[in-house]
Amino acid sequence: MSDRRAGGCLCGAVRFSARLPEMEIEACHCGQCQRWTGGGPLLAVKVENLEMTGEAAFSTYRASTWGERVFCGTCGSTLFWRMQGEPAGYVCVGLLDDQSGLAVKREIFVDHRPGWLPHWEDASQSTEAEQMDILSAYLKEQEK
Amino acid sequence: MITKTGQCLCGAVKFEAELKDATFGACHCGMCRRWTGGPMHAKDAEKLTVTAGQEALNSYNSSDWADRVSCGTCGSSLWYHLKKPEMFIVAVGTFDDQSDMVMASEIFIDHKPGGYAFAGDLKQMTEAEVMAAFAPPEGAR
Repeated sequence: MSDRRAGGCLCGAVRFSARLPEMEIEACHCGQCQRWTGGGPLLAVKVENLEMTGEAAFSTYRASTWGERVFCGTCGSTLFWRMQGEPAGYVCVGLLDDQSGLAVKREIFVDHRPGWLPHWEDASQSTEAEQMDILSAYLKEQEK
Repeated sequence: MITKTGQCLCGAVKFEAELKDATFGACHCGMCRRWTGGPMHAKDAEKLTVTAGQEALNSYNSSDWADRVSCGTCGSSLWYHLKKPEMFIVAVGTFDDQSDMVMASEIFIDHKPGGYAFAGDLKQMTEAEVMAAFAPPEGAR
């Protein structure tokens, strides 16, 4: 299933449209995402053929040696996390003008989920150790 | 009263918040969803003191009655600032210790997308109910 959707930040400085290759929301419970979103989890959807306007408003913050967090410098809206030097592969679901049909199907860094947040019944569960294994393999592949 | 220390992701902004209790609410309104990327989880503070990084605060005026404060360095969503009566509704994900926090309510429930829901016995309010509960009395507008 695929679909093209539009979205933007709160003040409208950043607008985009993208193809959604799947209708799944990924929820990240890592401590960095919790601080960044002010609660979390970071709810994100995979995007392809992303077309964005207003990139002059981007502010970026690097909390790790591999990742980059992009937000609107005007209104502070959380936009996306991406690998450094790469285009965004995911955007925050809250930015979409229309979120219909999307559902949380994957939870990652589940060992960092706060006690107040129950897990989603039909979402896959992955721990920090499992995610770091995936990341290490990816980074090793990039070095080749 | 509970005292919570907290900070943004990069640590530029640090604060201390006094809370009446450990319950908090989720807001599903469209503005919160664009701002935080999902629902906003926040607690109204009896008192909020910025202990470091006042100069790093980025304030965005999102309506006539409130602005939204984030860290200008890392973009962390920090708090919703209601102007009158002045109130600071602080994002619980920025607390150093969330272990005792309990989600108790959801507001703007009629704006919640279908793709996620929070389990548990939560008090729910629609946009109309929130507006009726918090609107100033006739004549005071």
